Amino acid sequence: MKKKNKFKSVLQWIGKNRLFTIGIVIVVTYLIVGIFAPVIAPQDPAKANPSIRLLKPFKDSEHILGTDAIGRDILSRLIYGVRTSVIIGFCSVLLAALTGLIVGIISGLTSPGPIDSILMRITDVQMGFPFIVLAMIALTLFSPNEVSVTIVLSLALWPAYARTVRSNVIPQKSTDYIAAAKLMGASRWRISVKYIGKNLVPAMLPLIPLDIAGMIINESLLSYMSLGINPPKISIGNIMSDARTYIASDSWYIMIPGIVLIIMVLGLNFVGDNLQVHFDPKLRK
Amino acid sequence: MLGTVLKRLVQGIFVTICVIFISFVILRMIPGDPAKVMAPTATPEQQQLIRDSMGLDKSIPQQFKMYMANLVKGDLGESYFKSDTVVNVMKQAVPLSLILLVSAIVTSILLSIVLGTVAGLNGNSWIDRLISSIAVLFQSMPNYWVSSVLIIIFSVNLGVLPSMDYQGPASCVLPTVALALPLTAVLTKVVRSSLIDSYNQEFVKVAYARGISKVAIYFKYALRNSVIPFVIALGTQLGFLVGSIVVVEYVFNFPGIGYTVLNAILRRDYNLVQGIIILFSVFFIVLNIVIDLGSIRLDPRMRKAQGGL
Amino acid sequence: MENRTENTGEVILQVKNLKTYFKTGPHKVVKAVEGVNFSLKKGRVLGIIGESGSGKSVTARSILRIVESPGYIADGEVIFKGQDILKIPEKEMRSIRGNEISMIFQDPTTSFNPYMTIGKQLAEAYNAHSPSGSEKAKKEILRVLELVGITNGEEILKKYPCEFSAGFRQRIFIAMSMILYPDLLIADEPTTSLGITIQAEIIEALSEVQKQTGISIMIITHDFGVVSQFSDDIFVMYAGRCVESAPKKDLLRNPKHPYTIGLIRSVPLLEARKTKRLKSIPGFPPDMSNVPEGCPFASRCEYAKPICHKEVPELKNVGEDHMCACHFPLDYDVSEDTELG
Repeated sequence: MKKKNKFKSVLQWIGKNRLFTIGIVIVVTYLIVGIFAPVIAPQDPAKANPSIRLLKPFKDSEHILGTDAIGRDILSRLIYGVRTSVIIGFCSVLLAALTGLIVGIISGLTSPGPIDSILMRITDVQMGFPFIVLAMIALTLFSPNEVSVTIVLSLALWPAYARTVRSNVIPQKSTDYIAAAKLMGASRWRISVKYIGKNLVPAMLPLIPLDIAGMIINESLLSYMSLGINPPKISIGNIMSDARTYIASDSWYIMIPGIVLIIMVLGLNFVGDNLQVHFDPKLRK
Repeated sequence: MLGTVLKRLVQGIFVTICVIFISFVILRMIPGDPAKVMAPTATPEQQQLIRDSMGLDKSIPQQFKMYMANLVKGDLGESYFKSDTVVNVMKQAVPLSLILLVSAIVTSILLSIVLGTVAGLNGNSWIDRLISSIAVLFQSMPNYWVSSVLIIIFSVNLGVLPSMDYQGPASCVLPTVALALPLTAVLTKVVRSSLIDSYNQEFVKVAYARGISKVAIYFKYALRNSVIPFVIALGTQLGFLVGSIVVVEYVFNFPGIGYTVLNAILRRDYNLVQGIIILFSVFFIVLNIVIDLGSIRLDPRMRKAQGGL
Repeated sequence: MENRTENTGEVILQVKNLKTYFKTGPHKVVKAVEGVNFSLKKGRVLGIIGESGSGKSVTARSILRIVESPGYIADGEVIFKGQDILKIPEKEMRSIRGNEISMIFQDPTTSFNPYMTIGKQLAEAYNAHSPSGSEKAKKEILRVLELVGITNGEEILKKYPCEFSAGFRQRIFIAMSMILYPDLLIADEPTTSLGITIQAEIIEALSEVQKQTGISIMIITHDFGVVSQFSDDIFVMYAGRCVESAPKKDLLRNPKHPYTIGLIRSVPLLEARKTKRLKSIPGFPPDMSNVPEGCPFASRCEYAKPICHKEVPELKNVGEDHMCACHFPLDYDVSEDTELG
């Protein structure tokens, strides 16, 4: 009886947060696909078979999503592509968020002061510069691979986190409860972690899925322009880049990877948007 | 106000110089001898000539000094692949990109105000949900993919619009649409939410009680109240738009500034890359100043805090 | 300030059995106003007093038909100049708002459009119903500003609302609501958000406006000090109902309803009589979504008898022009407890 009630309340919660649930399901699915790509992929993504090139999707049970220009299984390639997207998306945001967190807290706690102004001018310079050009230059400098793409992406993103964190730390510093905590003899470090951290979660958490979505798009974009993950490594971007040549004769070829990418991004946006609404009562309507 | 302008201007100049210096250094750190990369088939003497003309035999600080001295005179050097001055190459490419940028922005502003109003005035109705869902969908689509889909529909299947290179004004249509769709999506969301917000403001409710007509309330009260968030969102989006323009121009082989910079980077056309970087950063800095000052100018409360006009 | 016109004057506004409900859930209705009756005679000032949540603001908004969703007017009549304005089309109603009936609000810092200059807002108000030339508008604007004691009108027109203090803004707002010389002015807690000295200034300005134009005013407040200073008739509301109404003197000297008596006794006394304890009414107003049976005040009333918990008392005449909704109207001398009146 009790179990049934619990189940019912879970269902009710899902009913109220439909988009959030859909988003979570999508994200988790993609995560599993990404992590277990080698197990899940039905074929070897690199195995070419010129006799079945550009096989249309849903025609052959061996190649559900068809084959590419040299007869490789598109589904398997996309599964590996998702793996790349997931890894680079999560890692770059994690790196950016951590860097931003540290810089933001230091900057906020020491503000106003020289460390704060220097850090803020650095973020100024970085934010005052188009990401794409930065990425292009950086990636011609270092040979593009997973690590350099991740670093470049997080390089473009961390200033935004640093600013968010800083602007949340500064007003918190002067609030009464922090003063009270200081009076009670809490150390500086403890104050930052316990009290400020509590208030940073609502500000930062919704940004993370939204930024992962953005970074996944950026990675695919760089790879599409041959500035990111290049063959033989697989990324959704370079699959689409391959497909570009066949846009007139085999339009389906570029559509499929796009749809796979958009669903992933949509899922992340649903999660992020709903978190934002959840943490900001002003948006709740 | 004047103080604010000056402060932002000084900050902007500082940031620009930093950007120029950093990109200058980075560009010269790119592995490989640029003379060999740029002219692999040339004779050693010709390659030496390139090195001399770029001042590559001098130290980086010296090169930077030379570059800055020329920059002040409005000379950005020569583009080696276009065999023309950088300024001239940019003069050809910038207007084409500006056409795309301006028409995409104008389309998006008009569309988003209409769609955002329809959604906002009918908050939580089916039409609001429809518009909001489509907006989220378009926001999630990468530009280059939207461009490809547009090419498939309008060039490949319908054959009504050109998809490659610049062949007259018709070539601007698809890139403009590709740029405008995600922008419209974002701005529609902003208009919608700030209209809903405005109609909940006390002074809008009071206006009803004062017998002001619904049309006047919409334009002078609710929409006016949405202008500031709209301008700020538009400004942030313009930043993304410059990034998108590179990609969209790449997909359409559209010879604007984005296409030019991408090719310049791939060909190690140092001076051209450097020139476009300066152009971009000046654009960004001016943009940010305009947004800042614009939001002060638009909000009498901020204007008061800043001390007069 | 008292007895501006004879009590026998023409009735300008009559509210009959007004009911305004808020649908807050599928089966949940908050009866914010539950059958209110009162009338206002031309040129007089009616004070409506009650605790917050008693439905006085909702009554005012119902008269102008600006109750917000999920609220709706469930029943009743609002007869203004002989016409039931609850029944006329919205378009006609709009021509009444600001033109024949205008309203001033609690918080002058949020009631102006922050993006329009004072001059433009006043001109907009002037032109909202019958557009006319800007020269004429300006003349009228300056005149109406003078009415509320602003003599440097010319200087303030180009300024934005944020450049003035709250009290000054409320003055301008009164001027704005008077610009078309309406027949009725509804003031919804016009002084509540202001400091004590500014409150007095605003009341002073309102009574000056009243004196010069002879307008009928309905003032809503929870402050007995305000009504005792500035009204001819008083109407006490409790839990969405009218509990007592009478000319001011009568009500202050000879209140009949235990709730009115409680309210009067809870007004602080001046220095000389401070020995008397301030008496507040025990308990809280009922939950409006679930008003208990019988008299809504019964649970807080020290005189309540069994019938009070069963039957809602009707509003009955207890004297000349004096109505009271109580099963056992009191004859209580409050002169010991108050300095009002």
